Amino acid sequence: MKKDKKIKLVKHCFLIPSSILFAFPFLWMVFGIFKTNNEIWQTPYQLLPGAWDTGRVLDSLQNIQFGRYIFNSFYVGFVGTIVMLIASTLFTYAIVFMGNRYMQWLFYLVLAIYMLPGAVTYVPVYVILANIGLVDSLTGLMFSYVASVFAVFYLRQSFKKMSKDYVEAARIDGANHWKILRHVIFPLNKSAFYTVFVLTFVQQYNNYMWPSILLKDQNKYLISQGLRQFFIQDGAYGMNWSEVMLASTVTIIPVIIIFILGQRWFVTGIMEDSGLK
Amino acid sequence: MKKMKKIVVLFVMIMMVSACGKTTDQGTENADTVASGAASNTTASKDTKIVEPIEIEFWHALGGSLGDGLHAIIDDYNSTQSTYMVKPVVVGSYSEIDEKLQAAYAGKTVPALVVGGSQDVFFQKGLVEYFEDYMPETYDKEDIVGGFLKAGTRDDKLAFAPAYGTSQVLYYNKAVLTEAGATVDDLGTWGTLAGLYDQVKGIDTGVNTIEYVWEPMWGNGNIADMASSNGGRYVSDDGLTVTINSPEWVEVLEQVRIWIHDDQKMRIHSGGQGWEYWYKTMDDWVYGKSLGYTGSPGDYVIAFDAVKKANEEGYINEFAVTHQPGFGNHDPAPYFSSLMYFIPKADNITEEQKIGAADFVTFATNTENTAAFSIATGYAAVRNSVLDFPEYQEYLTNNPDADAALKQIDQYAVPEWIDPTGGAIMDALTEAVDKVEIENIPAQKALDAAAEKAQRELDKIKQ
Repeated sequence: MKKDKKIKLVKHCFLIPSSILFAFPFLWMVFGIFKTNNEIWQTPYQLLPGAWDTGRVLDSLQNIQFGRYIFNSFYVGFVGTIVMLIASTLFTYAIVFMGNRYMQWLFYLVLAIYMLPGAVTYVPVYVILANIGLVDSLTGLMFSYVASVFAVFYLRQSFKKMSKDYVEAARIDGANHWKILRHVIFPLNKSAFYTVFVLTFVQQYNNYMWPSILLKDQNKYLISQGLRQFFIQDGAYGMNWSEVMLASTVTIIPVIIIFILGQRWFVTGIMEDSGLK
Repeated sequence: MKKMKKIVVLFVMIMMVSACGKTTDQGTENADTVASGAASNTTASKDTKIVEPIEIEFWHALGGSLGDGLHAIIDDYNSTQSTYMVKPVVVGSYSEIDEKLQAAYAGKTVPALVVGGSQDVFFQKGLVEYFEDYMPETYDKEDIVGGFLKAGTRDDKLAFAPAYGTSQVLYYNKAVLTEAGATVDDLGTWGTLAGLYDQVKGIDTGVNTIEYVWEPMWGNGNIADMASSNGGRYVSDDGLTVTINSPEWVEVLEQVRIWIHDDQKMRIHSGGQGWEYWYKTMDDWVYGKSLGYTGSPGDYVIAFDAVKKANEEGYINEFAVTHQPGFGNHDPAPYFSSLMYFIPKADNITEEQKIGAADFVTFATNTENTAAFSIATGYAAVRNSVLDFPEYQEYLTNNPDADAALKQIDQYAVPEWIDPTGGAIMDALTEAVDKVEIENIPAQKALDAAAEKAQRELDKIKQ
């Protein structure tokens, strides 16, 4: 019992400073909402603001006008991820459960593409989208996300860890591929699906470089581009840093909510083997 | 059955969100169509022929007061004629313009007009039209300030149209300088300027005290200006040897290293998001932590306002601007550059659009608009006639040192050096300057490594 307590104490001694370290940038951002520019940059730095002026924060909230950008990001993140998940699930099902040697080679080919740096694909993908008239559109942006090698790889690992007995039993009972996917694969790999969903959603929600190349119309900008507007202003000295902090906080709140809501599934997906429960 | 219902509900939700997105995607477009349709009907009742304006897509990276100044000119242009419609697209930065343009050239979605970015790199690849080929007769080429004209000319033809000029100048706190018993003459050379450290250190500026005598701006620009004064050149006269590790360069950079790291008389802000390092450098001067900083003429308007605001908050700062010092006993010789308008060469742009782009440039850079833009932003005007423009003359009388950049360009500045490798020599120099200014590596070592790297790139194009 004493030994357990000692281990617990050591764990906490390590975890508490680590937690503070990881939480610090977030706290700095949140407290920054209430600080003046001088308070933010003054040395020595101060974590807490001099005054908690909520009236000014509410005014700033009306100034930043991020509604459109948040909607665009949410739209691309949510719909894009769902469509990507459907496409990846079908592909992964084919290579795992309808496998023959050609399917394996197909998978290796897809895996090889994963090794390509993202920036290398910008121009070819842009040309494809330009040829089908999808440049400067959110549909084009989501279309470019449909094939996700990460999702295929992650789901394949999860599907392979699952016992094939369930799939065979379903086949014996006369289930077709759709039924097997719906009633066997999906329930047994929920955490993997959720993990892929959250990671892809966050990546698409926050993406900056690719959308900034593809999109021209300011009405279609994602939240990351909206946030960048605060920094790009050539000669925009005197920017209101507390507004920047507020905009950054507003930006990440949806992601945090999604993570908190599905934390159980997410952690299970990362920590445990899927399938055999 | 219950689960089936859930799937159907989820599917319907996705479709609704998707449809909603499409509606918003197309909403503005539909509204525009309806509006233009309504307008067209009205016009049609008067004239039988309906002429849609030719759209000129125009990419720039100007925000804040610069962006406002440019957009005011665009609105003015669009409302004063009906043949062309300029549609601005604000891009994140000059480097993003380059990235976006590369993709656009490949995808054949290039805009009709661009300002900023690496126009020379694209020109060398044959991707830029000569501005002179589309220049209307009303464009007064002879009125452009000589240096800017030369900078925009390739093969004896105007390839790019100068938009505005810039050359880094000194912003300083006159109140602190006076308190230290010095005058602007003491800012005549970098040596005398650095020598003011003991006199200005600790002077009370209301809320803060002076900690540094000077804050050069991060990057190779300020160092290149000092080296230029000291006789340093990028390449040898025959253009075959990189000379950024010559004694003139090493002397300058080593001295800056000593001022920053050994003596701690100067300070460099680096990194951060976008222009964060620039704003932090300005902040230190505005709020009385440094005697001054080396900045862009484009800082003038905002810096002037910031100092006024700081004064109201109790900070002691008297706004003043002057030309750059010389290095050693040499005269100042800072580089000046001009932001250029250019018309990309691509199949997706029609001849009418190119003519329209040149027409807009002519409008945007006429004497009146050049003066207005210069007054709004602080940048140096590219036309000689601006100096005789009454509103500009009045502006100069009401704003202290507002013509500091223009005077510097006129008296001391030399044209910006064009990197024949398309940026490799500049990149190597930037790397060396970072090593010295941030990592405290001896200048000789950093510049030797940079010169070796740059020479390899130069050799590639000279072979």
